[in-house]
Amino acid sequence: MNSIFQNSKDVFLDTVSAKDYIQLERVSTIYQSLKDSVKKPLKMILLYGKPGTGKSMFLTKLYHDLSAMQTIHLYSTPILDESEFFKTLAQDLLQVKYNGELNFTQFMKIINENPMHEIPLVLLDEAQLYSSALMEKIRLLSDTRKVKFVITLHKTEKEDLIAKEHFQTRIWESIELENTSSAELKIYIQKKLMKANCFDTANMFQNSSVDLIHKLTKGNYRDTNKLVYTLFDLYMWYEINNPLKINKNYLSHKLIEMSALQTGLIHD
Amino acid sequence: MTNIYELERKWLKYKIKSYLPIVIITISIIAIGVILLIAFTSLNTSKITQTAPVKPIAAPEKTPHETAVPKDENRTLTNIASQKDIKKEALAIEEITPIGVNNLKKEQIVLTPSLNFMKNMQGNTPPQIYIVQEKENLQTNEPKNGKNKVFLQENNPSIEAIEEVRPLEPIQEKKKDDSINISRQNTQEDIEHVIQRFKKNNNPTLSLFIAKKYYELGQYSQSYNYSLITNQLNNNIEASWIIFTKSLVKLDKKDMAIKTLKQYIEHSHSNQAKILLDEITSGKFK
Repeated sequence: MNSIFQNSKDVFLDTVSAKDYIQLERVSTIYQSLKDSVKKPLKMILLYGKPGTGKSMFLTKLYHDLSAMQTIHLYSTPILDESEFFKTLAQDLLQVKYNGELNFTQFMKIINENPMHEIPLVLLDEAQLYSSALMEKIRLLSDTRKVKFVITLHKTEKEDLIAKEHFQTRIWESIELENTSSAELKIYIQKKLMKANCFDTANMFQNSSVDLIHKLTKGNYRDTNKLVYTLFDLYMWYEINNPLKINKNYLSHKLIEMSALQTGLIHD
Repeated sequence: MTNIYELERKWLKYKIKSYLPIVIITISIIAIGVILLIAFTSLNTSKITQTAPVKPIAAPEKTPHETAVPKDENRTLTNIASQKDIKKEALAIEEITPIGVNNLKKEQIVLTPSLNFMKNMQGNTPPQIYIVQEKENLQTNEPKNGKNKVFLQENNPSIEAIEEVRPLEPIQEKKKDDSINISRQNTQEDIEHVIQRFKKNNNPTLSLFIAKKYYELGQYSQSYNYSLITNQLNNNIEASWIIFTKSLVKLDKKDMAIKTLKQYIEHSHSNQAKILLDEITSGKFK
């Protein structure tokens, strides 16, 4: 027989999938704003925020929602080689398979030779990993209005610099994603669990427990997923080895803190 | 698999660490509180020890003013008055009492009576007798004599009220009236002279003389006081009882006068006292 904690644990595996997207009020507003921006004749849309704030999830969700309606390409992993990048774009946007090295000039020539009936949307995740030279070429490409870009950046000083120097004049919309509040985090966790029919464990998340989780993770989705995953892992152990030590009606703060220690959110 | 026991140990360490600042702060606050308390207590103690010697120093300066505070309760006419109350009253009197009456105390003019009639005189409230020095312009008619007057003050609220509430203006007017009468002036001077003599030797005859003179001058509170002093010095002087009761009648204390006189008659079977009692009760003497 499967433990309720086993199913709950699996819910919090750190994966980026559109089906795992949790509709939260604030997040939904931002997402709708992103969708509206995409429809506008923008050259580039910047999505930025600290790691674990849901940027990748946003892109994945956007790709999932718009792929049926328009040409859209998601590059979750950065293509760091310039030639490889343009070759991939030529293949995906124009269905042109190019052998050998492909530079920016050659790629532009291909684009001009192969007119597109609609402007494709290219989603670039982790754009901070692209080189400055490549980012400059992406900028030039967006200037031609042949391709529309949505890029995500980690919000660091360096990324801010990139945003200012390369894209300041071209960015029509920039959206910042932030860590969630305690109330939103509770909804996030419970919705996630209820989506997987883990109602018993969802009920274990009292306000005080969520507050403690929020305090430990600072409302970061990725850290929360890691923490709750480890928490249910610990619950599984206690359920087998020392069931008297756990209560299935509410979460133990001790176990939450132990999970935080285990995941490195706090240190002894 | 996670080593739960190791994790529990880490958690315990973490909890101890997290509570450590709270414990330190709490202990610090308690320690500071205790230090402050000790400091405050020691400060108070030092204040008390500093102020304590002042009282004995100040006391000898003031004690001369407390002329009639009896040292021995059994020896006073008002032996029922508590020593504590007397001291309180005496301290209150000190403020208005100028220097110059210290002789009275030194010579212990307050003597113990053999009767406790005063106890009954005022019901449950025993009279407290003090010799109070008062500025001349409040009680006497003598305008220029810088010396102070001495009188007995009983712990009788009505008498106190007479003495305290008495406005300044009427007294001054009275002074003017008295100053016109040359013979009175001489009488007042005579009294002053006798008072000085009385202060030196505490002779009850002199205090009786003063009481009589004050009675003649119409200063019944003074005559009351001096008759009381006389009685304290020698309670067998019939005249002191007569003047005392007469003064009481004049001070509108008729009931008290009758009561006192009756008790004296019971004790002494004095005919003069009986006659006076008849006169008072019949209303002849007012």
